[in-house]
This record gives sequence, C-alpha cells and structure tokens, in this order.
Amino acid sequence: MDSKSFKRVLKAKYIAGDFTRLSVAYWLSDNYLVEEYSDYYSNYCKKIELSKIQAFTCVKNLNNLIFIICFSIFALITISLMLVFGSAWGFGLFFALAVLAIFVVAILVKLKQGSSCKVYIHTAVNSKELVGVYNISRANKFFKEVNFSILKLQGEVDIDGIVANIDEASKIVSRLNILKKLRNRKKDVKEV
Amino acid sequence: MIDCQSCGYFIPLNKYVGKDAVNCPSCKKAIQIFIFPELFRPIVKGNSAESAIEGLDSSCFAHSDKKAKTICDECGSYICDLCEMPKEDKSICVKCFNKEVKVEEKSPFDRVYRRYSSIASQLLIFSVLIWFVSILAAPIALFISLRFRNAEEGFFKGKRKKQKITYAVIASMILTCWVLIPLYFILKEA
Repeated sequence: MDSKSFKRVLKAKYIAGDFTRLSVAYWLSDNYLVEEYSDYYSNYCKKIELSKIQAFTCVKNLNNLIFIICFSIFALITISLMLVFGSAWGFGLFFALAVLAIFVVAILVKLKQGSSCKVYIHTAVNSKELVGVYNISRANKFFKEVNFSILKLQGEVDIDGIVANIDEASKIVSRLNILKKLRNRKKDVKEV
Repeated sequence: MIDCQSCGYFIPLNKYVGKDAVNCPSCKKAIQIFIFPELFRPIVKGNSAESAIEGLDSSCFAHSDKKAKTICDECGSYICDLCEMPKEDKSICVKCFNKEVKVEEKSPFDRVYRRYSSIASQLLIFSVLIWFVSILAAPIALFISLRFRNAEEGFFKGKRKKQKITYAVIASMILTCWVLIPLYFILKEA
C-alpha cells in the first residue's frame, strides 16, 4: 500500500475533549477511507474499508448559530460603546474599530460555513463520529467525494428490492427498540 | 440498521429508504442519511460450539464448557469451534494466530509515529521566546533532528528530512551564539 494512491478529501483542526489541539485529515483511495490524526508529538491513522461502510448520517446542531449570536452581541456592545464614548476616546476609537472588524469577519466566516453538524459513519460493527466534518459545507464536500467512491465499489442501492421486504425489516427494528427500552428500564430498576 | 446517535433509537427502514432526510421518531431530530448496499447485505452467522459433557468429552482450553473439536497444530492445546482459526491447511488457536500476526510485518496503519520534526520545532520556538531556555532546548533539538533524521513521521507525512536539517542548522546557530557571545565579552574584558 502506497501513500501516493491516496487523495486528501478534507483537513480540519479541532480541540479534543482534553483541550489538546489535534488536526485530522481524511484520505481516500479506491478501497479505503483513512482518518489521519496528528497532534504536536504523534501521528496515527485509522483505516475504514469502503466496502464495509453501511451509511453516513448527518445531524445538524446549533454550535455555529451560538457562535454567531455571541459574536453579534460583542459587535453590538463594541458599536454602542463607540457611539457613546467615541468622541472622547481618540486613539481608542481605532482599537475599537479593529475589534469590531474581527467580530464582523468571524460572523461572516461562520455564516459562509453554514450551520454546524455532526457526521457519523455506520458499519455493521459500530457507529463513529467523523470529528473533522463539523459543518454543512465540509459535509457536502466530503459526501460528494466519498459517496461517489463507495457507490462505485458497492454499486447502487436496489430500492425496489428493499421496499418489497421493508415491512418485515421494520418489524424487526421495532422489536429491537422495544428490547432496548426494556433493557434500559431494567438498568434503571437496578440503579434504584 | 441505523440508530439515532442522539437517543440511540433504531430508525425503521421504511422511514428513510428512498429519502435523503428523516426525523428521528424518538427525539425528533432531523437526520440526513446516505445509505449504501452494504446495509442490506445479510449477516453470515458464525460457528457455534457444542457443549461438553462432563467426564465424557475433552473440553476446549479457552472455554471449559465447550466440547473440543480439534488440536491446535502449533501449540497442541484443545480447541473448540469458536476458537478454531483456519490458516492455510492448519487449524490453530487464537493465541497462536495472534502470535503469527505479530511476527508478520505490521501494517502502517497499526503504528503510532513520533513527529520528531514537530518536537524539534517546538523546542526551537521555546528557545526563541525564552532565551535562557535555549541552552537546554537547542542541544536537545539538535540531537533529535540529527538522531531521527531518517525516521518516518507518518504514513502520509514521509520523513521530512529537509525540515529536520533546517532545525539542526538553526539549533547549531543558537548553540554557536551561546559559545561566541560569552567569548566576545571575555575577550573584550581581557
């Protein structure tokens, strides 16, 4: 296996749970999707076979909206301070304008990125979050490239064939949900 | 089978087959779904081992309640259907299988690579920011960048030899400063 046969799909930086700054990159080859994690001192990869991927799910969240609201409030506070004390500040006015510009740029960047989301990859064994895909524009880029490769490898989904057996499958799923609820209740009873 | 990652509810197939988005029936969150044919592939059932009868059957080395089917060709221990790992023409146990996998060359994806160039660069940044740290940090950076100049930094990153040589040059320049500046003052006073 050669690194030259891989093509980089995405690269992102994120803060992990223990506040260490990591960068993650997604590389795609004909058969594998590889997640490359790097921090300051180490680098490791996790590979996922494209033929084993069952689905991707994308759930929107409010992280970007909260950012935009916070930055807008800060920008408004800066503007109101400038209007009230602007004439008395002198040089401070330029400083306030610089701060305002930072807030405005941050808001514009967040607006351009679109709403934030979490993307999960599902295989027969488990489901896993793709931490580098955290907003819709990134997700769209990722899905465009990866879905094409997966469908090329696995073929198209035969929807008609699935619809024929869908009722039976749905019954199994609902039974599993009931079993899960019962298990959760048993756990709650044990904890009590 | 796809479950909602927020609440853990298994989403019924009829909710999302042929659609791009679905609301989770339990937590009502909007989920965009992309499905692939692998989702509908039937799962092949694995072997199940017979239970051993006490006093009559020899039991598996790992599972004392299961009937031994065969003997491991490597270590000779009794193995049941669950433990049997076929390899070429042999039947071996899980322990021997793991040993053989370890002996074989590891895949690059199983390794954690040390990023020596990044460590050296961090040390040099410290040296520049806090000058008195450089008396310790610069020799360490020099050692790391020279000692591990041929070490791989990652499957996709390569060796980064040029970077390491640059850091070695910078570190040796700092060390030279540490030698020349005191020497200059000593000579000046003399």
